[in-house]
Amino acid sequence: MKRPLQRVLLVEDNPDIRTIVKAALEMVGGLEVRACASGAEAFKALEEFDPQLALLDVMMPDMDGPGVLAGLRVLPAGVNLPVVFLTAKTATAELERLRALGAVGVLTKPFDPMTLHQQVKDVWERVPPA
Amino acid sequence: MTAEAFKRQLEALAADYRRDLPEKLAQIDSIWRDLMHGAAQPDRITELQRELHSLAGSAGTFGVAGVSEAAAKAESFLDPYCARRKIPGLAEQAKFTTLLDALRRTAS
Repeated sequence: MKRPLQRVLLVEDNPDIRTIVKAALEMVGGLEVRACASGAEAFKALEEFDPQLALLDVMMPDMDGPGVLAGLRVLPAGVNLPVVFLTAKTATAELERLRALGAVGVLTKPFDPMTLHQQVKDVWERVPPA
Repeated sequence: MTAEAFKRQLEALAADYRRDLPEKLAQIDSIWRDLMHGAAQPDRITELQRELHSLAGSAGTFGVAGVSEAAAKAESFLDPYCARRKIPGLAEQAKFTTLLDALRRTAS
C-alpha cells in the first residue's frame, strides 16, 4: 500500500507563487514543503529532505523545469521521484510536451490556492506505488 | 492550522500583491521602453516575456484574473520575437504597446 503524501519539494522562481504554494500545501493540505528558488537549490536539498514528489515551475531563468527534471534524474534520490509541472502555458501541445518528458501530472496557473493541495494529492493517488 | 487561517493569510498576501502590482508593471514598461529606444540588447526581450509570464501565472491566483489574462496576451504576442531574439518592427511595436496599455488599465 502506498504511503500518504507528506513531503513535497517545490521549485519556483517567482517569490509570490513560491510563498502561496508553500502556504497552501502546508496550511490547507497538511503537507511539509521545501521551497526552492532554483534547480541548483533543489539539488542541494534533495537528499536531506527526501521528498516523495517534486512540484516544478516550467519557465525559470538559468534552468527551466524540464532542465530541473533532467538534473533530478541523474541524482540517486531523484531517479524515481515523481514530478509534477506547474505552468502558465495552457496550450494542449505544451501540456502534452511536459507529460512526454515523464511528468506524472501538469497543473496550470493561475490556480485556486484553496484547492491546490487536493490537485496535488489527486496526482499522487495516480502514481503507482514504488 | 486551518483553512480559515490560510484564507486570512491569503487575503494578506493578495493585498501585498496588489500593492506591489504597479512596481511590477513599471518594470515591464521600463524594459519595453529600453528595447524600443535601443537602450537594451534585443535578447532582453526574453526578460520582458518572463516578467509578463510571471504576471500571467500569478495575478489570477491572487484574485486579479483580468491582469492575468491581459499579461498572457502580451506574453503570447512576444513568442515569435523571443524565438528569434528580435525586437518587433514599428507596426508591431504599436500593437504591443496597445496590449501593455490594456494591461495597465486592467490593473488600475
